[in-house]
Amino acid sequence: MVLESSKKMLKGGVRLAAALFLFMGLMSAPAMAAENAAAAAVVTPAAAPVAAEPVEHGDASIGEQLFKGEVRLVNGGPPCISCHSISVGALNGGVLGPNLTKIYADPTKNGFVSDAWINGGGSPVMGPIFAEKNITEGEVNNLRAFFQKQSKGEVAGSATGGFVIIGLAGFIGILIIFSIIWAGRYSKRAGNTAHDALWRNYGGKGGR
Amino acid sequence: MADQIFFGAAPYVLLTIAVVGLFWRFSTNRYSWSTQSSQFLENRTLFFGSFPWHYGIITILVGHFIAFLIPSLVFAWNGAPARLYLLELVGLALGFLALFGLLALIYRRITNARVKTMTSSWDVLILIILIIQVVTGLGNAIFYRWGSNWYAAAAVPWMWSILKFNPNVDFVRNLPLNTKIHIFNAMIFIGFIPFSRLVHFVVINPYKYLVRPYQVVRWYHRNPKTENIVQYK
Repeated sequence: MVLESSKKMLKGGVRLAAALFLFMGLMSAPAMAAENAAAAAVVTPAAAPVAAEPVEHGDASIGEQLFKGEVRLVNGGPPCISCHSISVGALNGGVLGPNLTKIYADPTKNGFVSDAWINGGGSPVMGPIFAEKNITEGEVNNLRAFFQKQSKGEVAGSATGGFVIIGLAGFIGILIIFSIIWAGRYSKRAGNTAHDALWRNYGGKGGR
Repeated sequence: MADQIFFGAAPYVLLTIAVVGLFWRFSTNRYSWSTQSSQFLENRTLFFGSFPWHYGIITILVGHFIAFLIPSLVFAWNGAPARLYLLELVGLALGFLALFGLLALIYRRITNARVKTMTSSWDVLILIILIIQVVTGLGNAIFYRWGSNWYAAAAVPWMWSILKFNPNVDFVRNLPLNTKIHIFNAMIFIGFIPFSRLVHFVVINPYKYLVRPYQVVRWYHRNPKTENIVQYK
């Protein structure tokens, strides 16, 4: 009785999960695009008041390498790309945290790009990580120079759709390889399996 | 407070259940963890479910485990965006593979009368836990990129803080709900290992599952009802 009802629950649950998954997949791309557009819309007007551009003393190219993780942060903190996008790379950066392309040009958020804010727990997710593995002032200076450069460009899309499509293609590719490898798993078997013998005992033909 | 319970206290409860339970299972019921002649009940869907599921999930689990042991290795590999994308795409493809296999296995349980009859409540429960785990895992991979990096940066330090008996819940407290479900569900999964069919991977040489020829697994009865079955003492 209990088993029957739990099986019904499982059946319903599977349908719901499949439907939700499909729905999420279909909704993700437009939702992400809308989110980015909204973020860009919020940030763009704020760019206007920055009339006299401050001079950043860091090196933007080193900042880019730090952002991407090509050069590790000296105290072992994770690279920015783990969670943030800044409109670089074929599939852009992470989407766990906000897009940082225009953060430099936003006077309300510009101050977040500082070692004091990052190490001091300004972000609840980054706080515990960088409290133990401090980012240095020099690293932040290089990042600020890079952020300044990026803030002058366009905000690239999150690439979620492309990421999912390539992943699905890879999945189908693996299935095809599986089919090729195990295509003759019954016809090429050496002799009879115990499975065949079992079936014959019960009047079956063997095989499956 | 809820975070302290779910990610500060519950891990210890569930890990204790897993360890004590495994000793209990091994000492009282050690030969009951093999499949109940599942191939005899139905073989075709089992193949298309079991192979994708196991190859997908085992590779992903090994990835989680390596990053847990050597998180700096993840940052070293992901040090170029091309390698980061490659790792994430392979993980995503294997995640889809695992989901495909799991859905096939669930479909088999629901539609095949013989398999359905042999399905226990534990099997149903485990399948629910597994589908939650795979769907939330894919959710992390797709909607909260790049999971390989922030897993090594946030979740791994939390796991080590648990093992060092100094739990630091702050590492996971502010992660997205989807991720928190993924983490907590993983602990439930570990806690349930001793009581369900999941014990099949807690064996001395699990790699043999990957390379051995397929075989028919028969029921083991302590008191065989027929004369034909060889008795193993």
